[in-house]
Amino acid sequence: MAQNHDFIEPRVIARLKALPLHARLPMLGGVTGMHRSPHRGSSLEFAEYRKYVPGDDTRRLDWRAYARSDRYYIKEFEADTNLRLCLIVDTSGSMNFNNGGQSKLDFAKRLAGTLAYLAAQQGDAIGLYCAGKKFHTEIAPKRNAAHLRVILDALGDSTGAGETGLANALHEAAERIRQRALVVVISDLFVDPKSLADAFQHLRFRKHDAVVFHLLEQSEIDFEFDRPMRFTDLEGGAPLLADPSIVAGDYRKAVRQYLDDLKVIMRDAAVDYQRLSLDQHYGDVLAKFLLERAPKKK
Amino acid sequence: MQFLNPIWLLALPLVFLPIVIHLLNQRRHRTIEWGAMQFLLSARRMSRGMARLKQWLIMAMRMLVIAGLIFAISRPLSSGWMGSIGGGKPETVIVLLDRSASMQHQQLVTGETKLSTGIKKMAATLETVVGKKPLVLIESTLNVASTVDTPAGLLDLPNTTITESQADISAMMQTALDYISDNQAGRTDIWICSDAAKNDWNEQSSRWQSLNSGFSKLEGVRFHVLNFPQPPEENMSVVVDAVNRVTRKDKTELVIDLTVNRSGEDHSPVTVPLTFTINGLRSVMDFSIDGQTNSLLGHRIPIDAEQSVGWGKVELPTDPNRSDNSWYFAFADPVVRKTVIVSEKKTTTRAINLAAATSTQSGVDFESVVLTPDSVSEINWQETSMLVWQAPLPTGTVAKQIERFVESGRTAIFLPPELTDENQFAGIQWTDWQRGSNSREQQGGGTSVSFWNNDEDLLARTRSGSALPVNDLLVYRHCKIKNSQPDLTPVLAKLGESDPLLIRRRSGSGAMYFLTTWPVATHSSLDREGVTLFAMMHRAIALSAESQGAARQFDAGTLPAREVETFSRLDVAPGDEEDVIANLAQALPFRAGVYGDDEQLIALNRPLAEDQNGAVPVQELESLFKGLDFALIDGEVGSAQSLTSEVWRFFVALMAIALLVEAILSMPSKPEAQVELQPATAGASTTQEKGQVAA
Repeated sequence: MAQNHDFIEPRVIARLKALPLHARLPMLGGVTGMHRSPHRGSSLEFAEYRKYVPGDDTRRLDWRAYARSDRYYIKEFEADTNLRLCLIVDTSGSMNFNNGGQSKLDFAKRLAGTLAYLAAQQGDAIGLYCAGKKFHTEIAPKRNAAHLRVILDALGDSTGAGETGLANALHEAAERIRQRALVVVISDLFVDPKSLADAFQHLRFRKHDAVVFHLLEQSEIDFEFDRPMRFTDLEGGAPLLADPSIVAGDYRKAVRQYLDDLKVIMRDAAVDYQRLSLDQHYGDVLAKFLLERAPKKK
Repeated sequence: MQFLNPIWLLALPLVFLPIVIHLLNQRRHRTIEWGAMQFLLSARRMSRGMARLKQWLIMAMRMLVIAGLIFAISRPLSSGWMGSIGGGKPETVIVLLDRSASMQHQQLVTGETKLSTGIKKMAATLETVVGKKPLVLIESTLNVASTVDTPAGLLDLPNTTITESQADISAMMQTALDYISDNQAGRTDIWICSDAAKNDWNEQSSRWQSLNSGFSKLEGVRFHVLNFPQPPEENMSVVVDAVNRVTRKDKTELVIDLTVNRSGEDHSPVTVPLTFTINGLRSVMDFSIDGQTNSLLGHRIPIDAEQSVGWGKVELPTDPNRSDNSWYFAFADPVVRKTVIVSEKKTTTRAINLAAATSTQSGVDFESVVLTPDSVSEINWQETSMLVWQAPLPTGTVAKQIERFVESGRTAIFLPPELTDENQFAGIQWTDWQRGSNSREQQGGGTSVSFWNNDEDLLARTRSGSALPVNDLLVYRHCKIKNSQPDLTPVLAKLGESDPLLIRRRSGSGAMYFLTTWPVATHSSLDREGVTLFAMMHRAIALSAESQGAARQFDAGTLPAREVETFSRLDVAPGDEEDVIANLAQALPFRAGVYGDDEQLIALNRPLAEDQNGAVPVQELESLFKGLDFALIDGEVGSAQSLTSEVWRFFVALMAIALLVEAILSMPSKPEAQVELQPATAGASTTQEKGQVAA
């Protein structure tokens, strides 16, 4: 592993290795993998019977069924395929926020890097899109060992700067990722929730399985300051002098409204929405995330 | 508003401390890099309303707390009139106390007089304002500045008690002015306690102008006039007009003429008991009064035939004004009413001679002697009741003799000489004879009297209340006067716009009158309209006669103390309260009563001017103090309400309320439910189902 890939921790990888990354929607992969495909295939998993139509491969006729019912049925099995994991990491200036510890971007790198590693290990294709105001890193999904290194290098080199253009970036990603993919968005989502609603609906329309890791810091929610503060906009906007004793109440109200709106948007767009705090360990976050996505035993 | 510790008011700018702290706090801000600016901008937009108002309210409350604290420790005093004063404690406090008879107006329920109410209020106020510090007292009887140890001391001093004398407020003001100038008193508060009686204030006197200009040159002098102008309601007063001892056959009687006056709106007939005390023996008679005034003439009271000298008093029941409920008199064998006329020409004083020699009382002899100026030495001053001087004004020894004559209580009337000269007497000099433009010879008419004082003195109304026919008089020639002391010589009658017809100058217990024309046909109609001249002469003789003989009458306060220093008071029993006060040497000439020694009796009564209920109007009072730092305080007789009180408690309460409001406003609003960042998932439960559908 490269020296600058310090956001990849072998201990965490070792812990998560046993937990496969599953998509919740059927994927269209190029090779056999461990994910459901919308097509019928040759796995051992029986899927369904269907009536024979001319042109069907007669080798797949269920003769026993024909003997019982005197009708031709084709026996179909599930197809297992690999998935395309598209990591969209928000690299706007606001991702540099930290509260004395790691920044949101550091946290995002750990999440994305570990997910990429796990996906690569199970033979899935990995792509990376780093979005500021627009994509400044765009690596299409591929599945080979060398590609993981490219992804990790790009992650390691990414820095937070500029304004957020996440909504546009998501629209663009929805268009560029041609096949169904597991789209993982890691961002603080400091954009207008309404614009996000359209973007996620777009992803959903393109049949992508969208996952959002929403990174927040508790101090951003609580807004507990005891004296006037000069707030410098991490995204380059004008600084703001505010007296917390005056604005704190309304600030919290605005945050609450925003989070409520976001929750509704995510639910409507069937997005797997994970709200995270920087205080959490990303290993725990990923373990929980992977466990939740693991197919339930029937 | 006045403050006892105004130095603390210098700390008032500290009121702005919360704003300064707020601004400093704003400047002491920390800088933080922030990502969630969208919420901050949204909050800033929302917080422009109530939150900002709340913050300013909190700020205002904090300022109010500091202001309340500063005001409280500055020890503010209440009452609106003190608001005009401002500043702090004076270095000197001078109290001018009007102890005139009219200040005895009392509230019947409490027995508090105007004087006692005023003293209590002033003592309480000064105790609050200056604390237990000495103050200077100038009271109306002695009119000298004396030191009182503490304001509370005013309550116990013998020279702050009631008297039946008259006050001269302008003279007291002059004393105060002199005191301030002589002692460099610094910032001075002058408190004047008075009922603003016109006769005490004499607001027309030109002395007020010089006082005003004198005080306006001083810095830091403030006047507080504690004024009790309310006249007594339903008050009665008694005046004994004449007392004569009459012997008829074997019967000796006192013949008393008296007048009872009533003030107030009730003029219905009423009967009051009149108590006569003659040499200690009391008798009571019911006396009916209908209307405002009623006279009792010729009331006879038998006395011992051998008793040639004695005293008595007439009393009315208690009413709101104690001072005018009694009248003292002393009687003795009547003296001959001798008038000495010194005249250049007998013809000029013929009418006076006739009037003075005419007897008006039975049993009393009236004589009149006419002398030339050269034979003045023949005058027996002891036996003379009245002097009429129609000659060049006296100088030298004669002038001194006349001065002593008047000071002893007798009357002198001066008429102009034929040829004026530069002689001066009592500040008066005859200047030029004036012939009226419409003199009798030319147009058949003379100058009429434009003003005369019909309230008191020689031209007062008659006992029945009708005025003397002074307006019928015509003056064809009169002599102008050069008056060097106009303040001391009130004009009793005026010709035209400015020239006086009759002026008066008091001296000791007597008076000098200056008549500016002759009672001859070529000069005036005084001889033709004889009533006025006759009344004038006999009133002047009566005034003189009061101070002659073994029994004499004086107004309280007009007799020099030295004349009565060996006297004792006869009308009160030894040892009672009145006697104790009376025996205080200072109080003797100022309290009404009968005083005497082995040889003579003196009856002292209130000056009749004290019975006039006129108060100087507020506008005129204010004009007297125009340009000076002046506050007029209306007092109420018997009111126990303090003029001022400390109101720091109000400010402490205000501070407490402000603190409470500030605390309530500063309390954090209802705690909001904490937003938990983890775990929050949305769509997770539905994702799979939707995914299956999509598949």
